[in-house]
Amino acid sequence: MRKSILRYTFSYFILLSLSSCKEPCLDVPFIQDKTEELQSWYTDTELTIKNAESSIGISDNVILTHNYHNYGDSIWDDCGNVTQAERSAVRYDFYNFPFTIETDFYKQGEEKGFSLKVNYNTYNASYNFTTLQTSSNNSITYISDYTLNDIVYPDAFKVTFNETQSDTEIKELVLVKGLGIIYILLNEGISINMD
Amino acid sequence: MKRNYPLLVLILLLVQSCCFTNGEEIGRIYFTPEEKAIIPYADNQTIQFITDEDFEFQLNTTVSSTFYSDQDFCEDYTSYENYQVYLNSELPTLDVQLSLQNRYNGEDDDDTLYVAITINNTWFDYDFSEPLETVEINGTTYTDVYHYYSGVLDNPISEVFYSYTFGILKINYLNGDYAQINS
Repeated sequence: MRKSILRYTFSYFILLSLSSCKEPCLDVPFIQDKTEELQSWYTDTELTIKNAESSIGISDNVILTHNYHNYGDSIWDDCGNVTQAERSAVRYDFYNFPFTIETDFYKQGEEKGFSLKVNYNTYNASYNFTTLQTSSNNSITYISDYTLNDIVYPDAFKVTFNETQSDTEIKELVLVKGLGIIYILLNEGISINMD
Repeated sequence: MKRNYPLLVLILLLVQSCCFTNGEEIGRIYFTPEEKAIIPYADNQTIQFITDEDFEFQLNTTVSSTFYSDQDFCEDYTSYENYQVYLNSELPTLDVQLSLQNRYNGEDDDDTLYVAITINNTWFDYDFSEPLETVEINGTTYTDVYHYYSGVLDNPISEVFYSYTFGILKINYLNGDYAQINS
């Protein structure tokens, strides 16, 4: 009798241990919603050149280089679900201004893997679409109804580079859904419109 | 007796190709101060410029003098001066390189010393057959001005006006913008 109780207890313990190894299933509907939201921000691939009008009187033709990559199936769960990872990045090359900027929308596959990263020269800022958290040194904040030159853009991100110091470095830039960067402000107060 | 002539020839060739002495510099050809003066900038100068929207900025100068040689293999050689002046501005981004060059001048049927201009990695050139121009900037008239054109079609910077006395006078952009000396 005592032997039987021990056997059952041991079996129960093993079963309990095995069941604890199982990871929770991916929240597929949530991931689909976030994927659509992230993709809605991707810059239109038709935009390859933007005219940058600056307040110093020197304009620029900014070259946009799009880089989209689908990494295929990246995360599987024990419930038979699988999600894909993808990335949509755009590099902005200026001729008359000392900037190289890259916006990088990245879906890693799981619920928390939806992010925007903005790289400017040696600086960067990031935003998590799930937690709505931004990096602390340089920040990205969502703005609804951003107005520039009497045009209202319903969805935008303002990227603030708190780490920059020199007059000719970027203080903040505005990124609009589908249109990419439309506005840049330097520490010196010089503005560049790219709408 | 069997002789291996091809091997001997090969060894002879290899020995001949060896450089037993590296060769020595037997002379240096410098540009004269008068020749250098056609790039009228000194080291660490700050040149004031202004855009068409009255944005004032500075071009900072750096003078560089290096030497290149005409050494042919192991022989003794002569070195020639490579004289360049760099002018840089961060905003707007301007990386200007001025260098003294000799170029065949068909008008005079002779080599002529001139200033080669490169801006933001694009080469600018002027036509020897064109007459020198007169340019007016802020009420000052500059004569004997060389009119340089971009060597690349559709380059954002299209023209440069250069004077042997005052240096770069004006930079014209393709879209109509310009930057000029703020004297």
